[in-house]
Formats: sequence, structure tokens, C-alpha cells
Amino acid sequence: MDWSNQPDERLLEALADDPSALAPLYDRHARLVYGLAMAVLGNADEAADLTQEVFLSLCNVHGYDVARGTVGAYLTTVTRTRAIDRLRRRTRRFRLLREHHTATPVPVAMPTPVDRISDAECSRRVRDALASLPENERRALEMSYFQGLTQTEIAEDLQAPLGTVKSWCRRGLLAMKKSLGDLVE
Amino acid sequence: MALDDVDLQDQAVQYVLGELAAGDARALERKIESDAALADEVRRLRATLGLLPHAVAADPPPALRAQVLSAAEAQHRARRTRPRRVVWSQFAAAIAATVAIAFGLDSYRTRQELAMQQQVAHLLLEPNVVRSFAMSGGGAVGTVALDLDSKRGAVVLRGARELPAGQTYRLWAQVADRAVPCGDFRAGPGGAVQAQFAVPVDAYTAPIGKLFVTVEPAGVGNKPTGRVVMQSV
Repeated sequence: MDWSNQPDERLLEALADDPSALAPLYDRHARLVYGLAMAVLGNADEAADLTQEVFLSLCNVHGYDVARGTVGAYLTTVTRTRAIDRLRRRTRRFRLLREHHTATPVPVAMPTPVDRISDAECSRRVRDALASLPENERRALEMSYFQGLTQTEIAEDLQAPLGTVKSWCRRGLLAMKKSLGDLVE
Repeated sequence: MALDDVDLQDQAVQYVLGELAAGDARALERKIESDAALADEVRRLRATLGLLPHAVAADPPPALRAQVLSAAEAQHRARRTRPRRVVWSQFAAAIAATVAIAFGLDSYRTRQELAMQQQVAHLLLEPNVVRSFAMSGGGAVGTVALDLDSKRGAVVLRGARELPAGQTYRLWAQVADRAVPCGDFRAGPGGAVQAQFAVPVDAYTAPIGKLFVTVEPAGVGNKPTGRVVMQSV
């Protein structure tokens, strides 16, 4: 069967019986998954290995609830989680049982403007928004998101006061929200 | 709508970045339940963070596509040759779905907080690949979290009684009419427990009704024999 025109949710359902349904999912989302894995892990072989792991895990996803988010958002969340997990194991910073509330981005349920602009346009917008941040704000935000570091760890790494790092993260995220406002409405 | 309260907005940012301590996070979640502007601010902040991967999108190696699809075919063939069981899918259909989360745990000191956690778990933004259970009993309180995606579990308790040598706490999942052993652990000094275990998702042939903890002789045991000292609330 030609799955190429089917929506992601239908492809996920089909995967239980037909693994060829994975092909269009890969074609649609591999750049995001691989790029994120690469950004976190910084190693092409590891990023490729994780990309394969993430897409194979889709074959075991059952009972997908569309109302909870898009497949793309699911994939990026799984990728980030597993990539940071690998990174922590590698750097011996694994803190599985930490007394923090862990809050990762949860995708919005309904289609957003992100679904209506091209991937290339979306990537350009987000890259531009990041690039427009002051260096410290951008770096702190990237260390928080792509490396999973706490603000305390970021402060140590950057040898900056914790309060300053908190301000960088706050200002950076709020500026990003403002820049990308039309994409997160 | 913009959030006028700067302190509240600051808390929202820290919350979304995962920087709030458990008590502060839960307090904010209570506010979110009744404050539409705050809830919307949290949603936008999360969505903004969720866009960051687009900044680093990159072409994977060309050969990876064929490799992934070939591995998927092999996985599918291997699955079809095994006896068909109605297992993980049924369980997952009930509770797992679209969003995985970094695996985090909270500890709770009071029953009020335990009750609140139950109320907010499905409202807030807690993705359902990770299932967390508030535990209570015998003076101990805490949390068990099951990461059904990576098939890991962890338990954090306070106030658990230290057991004599030769005995262990055993965590069980009540699945339909049977109890599935999940893992053993012992209390450290001061009754603190922090332990991890593999989650036997293949044994979950139905949604988990509850979790409970018994005191058992150390060693292998597939059925609870000791008294229940703690259970999910």
C-alpha cells in the first residue's frame, strides 16, 4: 500500500501490521529527530543510532491519543529525553532521582501555525529568533534545553551567579516567545 | 493575553524549564487550574521551548533511511514469529500515548499533597508515558513512577520502617486479578528509599489497578505472601 499521503496518526495505527508505514514518518520527521539527537549528543554515529531507536520505538506505540499532541512533538520529546539520558550516562551526570519537578515541553493539542508553514521556514524562524538573543541568554537556554542542565549546573559551567543565569534563561525564553508568537498561538 | 504579574510569569518560566522544587511546582499547578491567563502563558512557554528542535534540524546520513526501515521490517518479522499475546498494547492503550517526559520524581510529605498530585496529574501536562503513583502507608509517603517508554521504574519514599535482615519491601502492580512483582527495595537510614527497577510491561495485560508494597522474605517470589504495608492512594 502507498502510505505516502496518509496522516501521521493513520501511519502510526498501520505500523502494527505494516512496517512500511514507517517510511513516510521517517521522511517527514527524520531531519528533526536526527538534528536534535546530533545537537544533544554531538556525535554523528550516536545520533544516527538514536534516530533509529526512536523510529523503531514508534512501532511499539499503541493507543496514540491525538488530543495530547502531534507525532512530531512526540518524536522530539522522546528524542530529547533519550538523548539527554545518554548524555548524562556518558558524562556521569545522570540524576534520575532528583527532587525537582521535571517539566519538558508538552506539545499543544491542536494544529498550530507550525503545521501550516514549511519545515524550512519554521527552522529559519527559530534559528533567527535564537540568533537574535544576547549571547549569554542564548547559551543558557541552549544548555538548559539541549544538554538538560539545571540552572545551577549552567552557573557552574559558565562561572556566573545563579541569579544571573536564571535571568538569562527567563529573558531568553520570553524573548523567544515574543519572536515566535504567531507559531505558538 | 499577557500575564501582568511579573513574579508569576517568572515562576511560570522556571516551571516550564523544570527548575521549580516539587512543592513550588505543585503550588503553581494549583494556580494554573484556576487561572486561565497563567495556564495560557505556560502553554505558550512550553510551545516555544518545543520549537527549539527546529533550530537544529539536519539531514541524517542518506544510508540511515534504509537501515531504519530494514530494522523495522526485521522487528516486525520477529514479532510475528513469537506467540501472540495481548499485553503491552492493551496496557499502553489505557495510559501511554503521545508524550514522553524526562523521568522525574517528586517526594511528598503530606497526604494533602498526595491527593493533590492525583488531581493534577491528568490535568497538567504530565504526559502519560510516565505514570506516577502517590504511595502511602505505615507512616511512609512517596512516589512510584513508571516510565513505560523506557521500561524503567523508580520509587522514592520517606518514613519507611527499616526491615530486619532477610526481609525486603516488594512493590507489586495489581493487574486485573493478579499481582505482578515490580521490584525489591530496602529502607536506608531515616526511612529513606530511592530505588530503580525494570518495569515488566509485558506482564501488564490490563491497566494497573493500583500499586502496593508488601514485606517479603528476601529472594525470588512471584506472589505476595507478606502483609501490605503501603499502597497507591
